[in-house]
Amino acid sequence: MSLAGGARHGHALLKDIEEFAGVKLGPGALYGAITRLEERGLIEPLASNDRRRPYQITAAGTQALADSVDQMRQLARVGEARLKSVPTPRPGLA
Amino acid sequence: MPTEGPGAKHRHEVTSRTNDPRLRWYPGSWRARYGDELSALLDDEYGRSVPARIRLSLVSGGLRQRARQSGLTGDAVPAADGIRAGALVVLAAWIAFVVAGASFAKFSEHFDEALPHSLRAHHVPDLAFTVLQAVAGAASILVAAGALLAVPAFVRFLRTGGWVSVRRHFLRALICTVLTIAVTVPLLVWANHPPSHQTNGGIHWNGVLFLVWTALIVITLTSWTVLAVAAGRRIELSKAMLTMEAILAAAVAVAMVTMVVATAVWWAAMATDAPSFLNASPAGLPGSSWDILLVATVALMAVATGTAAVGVVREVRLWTTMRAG
Repeated sequence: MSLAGGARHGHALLKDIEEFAGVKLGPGALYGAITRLEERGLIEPLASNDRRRPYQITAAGTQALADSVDQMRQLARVGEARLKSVPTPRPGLA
Repeated sequence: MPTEGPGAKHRHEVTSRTNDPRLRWYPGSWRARYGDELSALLDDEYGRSVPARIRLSLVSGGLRQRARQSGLTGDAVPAADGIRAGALVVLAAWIAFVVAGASFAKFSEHFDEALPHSLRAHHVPDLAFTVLQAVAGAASILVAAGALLAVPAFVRFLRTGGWVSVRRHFLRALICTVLTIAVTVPLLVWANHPPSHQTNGGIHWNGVLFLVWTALIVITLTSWTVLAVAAGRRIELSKAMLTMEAILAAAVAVAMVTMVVATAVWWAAMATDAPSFLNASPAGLPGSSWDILLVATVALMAVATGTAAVGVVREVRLWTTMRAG
């Protein structure tokens, strides 16, 4: 999801994920994810002269992300609807 | 592009970090691809002093990558490689089981003499022990058969230049073997003809020497197993041969389960009929059934069996994938 906002290298990915998800990933976990996503063709590395290699999301990655967001939206809708049907607890009956 | 982190000043110090010791847990091919950038990330985030929590994350990440690359987890390698990895896990688990088995053999020596003379008291532990011995023999034959089946492929592997990739493992195993023999021979002589000053009060040193010798045996077995696994990962096996190896591995795993059950039955029977034997207390005195050596031995057996089961589950899962493909 972080790469949908533009190409980023590892350090920037960690900062971005921490900012929008509130999760501080370890470098081992981050590079495990990068390896899997690259193997599946969902992200790709960009050329770089630096040791920091940036990655960008591919068309397949964008599609996979869109599918995931759709699923999450569906889940959120169901959750919202069910929350509305929960009767409001009356004070003193807790 | 995002800004550089606090440790960026270090990045000019080293041009290539694929040999970065912080990444030593990762496989070589992975380090060649991602090592530089992960090193740069560590420098950016933490500079020179990487916290212990992050080091643990790297160890865990490195082991996970090794498991993926060897075909033990994930879908990064073809199904055939995953099946082979499953069979090799069973082999490694079997070697650990052999170590536990040797410990159990030593522990259970002369157990028959500790049992009461009634026929009933002998029946269950004798039967369990006989089953254990028979199944251990059968499983050893299965392991030997698996090794023999792989010999032609191993010879082809050596002839086509594979020696280079396993030379390091072979030399290490050879050195361990020579060292173990060098220690075993004088130890045997010493055990049979102990110097007079050692016969009285020398028991402590006997124990230490025995522990050192045991450690050497375990290290030697481990180094040959590492060699077998390293070669086993690289040799070319036909689909039929791979199937045979997978079936043999599954049979060995079943044998291990049977042996653990037989050991547990023997233990329970001995705890009922001859508890003094289990903690080496003088016959006739009440003893605890939880001798530390026996607990450790059975725990190792159980862990090895569980590991073998993981290998077999992996084999079966990927076998269905391979057949479908």
